[in-house]
Amino acid sequence: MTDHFDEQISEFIDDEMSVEESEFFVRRLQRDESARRQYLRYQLIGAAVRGEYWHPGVSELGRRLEQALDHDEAQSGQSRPRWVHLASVSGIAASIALVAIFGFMALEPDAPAAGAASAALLEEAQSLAPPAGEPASTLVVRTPDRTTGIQYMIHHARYSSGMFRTIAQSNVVAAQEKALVADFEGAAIE
Amino acid sequence: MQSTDRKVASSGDRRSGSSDQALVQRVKQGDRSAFDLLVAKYQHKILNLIMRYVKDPSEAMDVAQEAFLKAYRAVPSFRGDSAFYTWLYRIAINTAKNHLVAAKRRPASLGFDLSDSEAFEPFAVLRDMDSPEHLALTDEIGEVINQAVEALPVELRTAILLREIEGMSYEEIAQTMECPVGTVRSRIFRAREAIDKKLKPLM
Amino acid sequence: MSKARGMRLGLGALLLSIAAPAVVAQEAPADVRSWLDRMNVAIEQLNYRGRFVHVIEGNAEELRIVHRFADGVVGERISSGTGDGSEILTTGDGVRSVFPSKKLVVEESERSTIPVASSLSYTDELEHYYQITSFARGSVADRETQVVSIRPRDEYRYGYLLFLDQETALPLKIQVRDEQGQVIESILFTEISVLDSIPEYAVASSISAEGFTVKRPVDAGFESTDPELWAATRLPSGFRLSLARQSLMAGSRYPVQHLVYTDGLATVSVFIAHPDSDPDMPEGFSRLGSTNAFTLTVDGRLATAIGEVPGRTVQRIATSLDAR
Repeated sequence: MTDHFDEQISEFIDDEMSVEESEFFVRRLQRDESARRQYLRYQLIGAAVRGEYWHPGVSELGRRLEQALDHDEAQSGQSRPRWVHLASVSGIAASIALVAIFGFMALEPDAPAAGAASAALLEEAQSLAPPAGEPASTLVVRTPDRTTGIQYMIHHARYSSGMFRTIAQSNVVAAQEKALVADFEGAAIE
Repeated sequence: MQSTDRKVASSGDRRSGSSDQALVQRVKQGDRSAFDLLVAKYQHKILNLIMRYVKDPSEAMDVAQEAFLKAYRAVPSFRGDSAFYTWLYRIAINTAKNHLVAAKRRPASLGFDLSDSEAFEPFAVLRDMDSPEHLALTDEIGEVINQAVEALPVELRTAILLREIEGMSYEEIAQTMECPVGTVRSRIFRAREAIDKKLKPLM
Repeated sequence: MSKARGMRLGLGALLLSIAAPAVVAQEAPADVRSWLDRMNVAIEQLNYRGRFVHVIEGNAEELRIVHRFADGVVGERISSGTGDGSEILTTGDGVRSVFPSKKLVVEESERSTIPVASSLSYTDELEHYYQITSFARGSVADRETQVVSIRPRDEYRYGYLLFLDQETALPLKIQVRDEQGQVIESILFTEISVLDSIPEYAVASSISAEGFTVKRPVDAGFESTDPELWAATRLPSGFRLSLARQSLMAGSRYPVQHLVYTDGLATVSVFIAHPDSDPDMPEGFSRLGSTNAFTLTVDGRLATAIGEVPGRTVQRIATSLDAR
């Protein structure tokens, strides 16, 4: 392996490649046993640095899964397990229940970032944007002028420490210019 | 050449989990070894997550295995609406919760269903892995990694800590350390390379 | 503006740096917590004015803040950067929110000299629920900052990365991170001046509210109060009741029970209201930046839990409410 290839493993682990580069890289990684081992060691380094607990058996997880999947495939008629179907039903139910007490503030979904004075700010904003290709998780609700949600936020902020008060009040002011009413990660598998 | 181009591309794409997307795509095409790479990436995080619910490490390992199995079976239905880890995270949480519910229903004296022959196999594997020699080895690995991190030059150590502990992107680290993105890429790689030199002989 | 203590940061402030001779050694937990104590006091008790960028959901908004502390009383104005948007004014008598686009003013009476929580100090108990470290010193433009990382130990709270001014402990950058470490909300000061004093008029409203509808608490001799005492019976570990009060919301005839729970850092408020107080109040989850809310009907009352915590936390608290 070359140093450049090693550096690419590091970059791949950190999600710093484009999707196209990643797809190409995965194929290369799969052909190269030594690179795969290096990938595993880099992941282990990350877990150790983050102080994550690691059970000795974790290194065997791959093998255990392999065995279980072999068993799975031998037994199954490849039909989709029932729980996946149930998942989509519960997903729909969850999204119907998604509502917003902050609805009062919602304006246009793609309102420009008014007041964002520089490219640096836009870059920061983009870095927090939902991932590309993800359907809008933002639920824009046009409701009558209800203010209960904001009033709750204001009363809540009054009893929070300074940093949280600033965050909550900034939310109320900034949200006037944006459509920020979002749904919640409610849908679940199973 | 590409420092400017790459900077923008990296920053924009990173959030979409480009490496995960590529791996998931391969799994969807029936490539199980790509799933191994995803397991290697997330196994520690998922195990730590599950251990918030299931305190016994061996039991947590079983739940982790079940969660990954569920994920593998469900990958064809994964549309990429959310990040892969978010999706996997939910599966793991649900599996752990279901495990707790099921555990309450079981007779207290029986940790697993004796009539299920499959139940024995993972336990057998675990017993092998729980040998004192293996535990000592993992302790040693952790210690070696931590010592290697301590010994890194300050720029390399800061870069790898900001990446691994704070989860910052290269772009964010570049802003924080006031250096080009290319330098961050190189520092993080050099940090991993230096740690790996100490780790490799143990693996 | 006082020249003695004034500092002005340009847009370069966004480029936070860890200076080359950065100190990477970790500080003792108690020392790090003292930074948080200093920050709390600084936010409330210094006089400052500045501009900051508030980023959520991929949108950046430039806001202005003027904060005054005189005779033990806080006065503050947070307004849109353009000056013609909405604003929130905090005084010793309450909070006044002005929404020009709706031609609406909402006045909440909340008599208080300084917000209650500003006097709290962080104890080592906080370490049970958060890992608090400071492994780097950085700089914002030419200002030295202390980088403080607060990582939750479970999924019931958010994490924070704070860049605190070395001299004043004011947070020049705040990042709120979700349970997966993703930044979900951030505040970045692009300009800040710390002053010896700020005149009262500087924290007064800059918007003419002539012709606006004004919502105030209706003192209509309402039937006093909900005789029941409410409590959350399944709190995530570390959360405890810090306050239970009854208040009148602007525009409403019905008193609302307000319970405040805290884990020592994050705060969750629970509001228990008469069902007629807002018949259209939607039930379920809501989110605004890092603020999550969950509303449901319990025993004929409308209950909402709201706070800068993950959705599962407000849901858990709200669904465990019980009248005693």
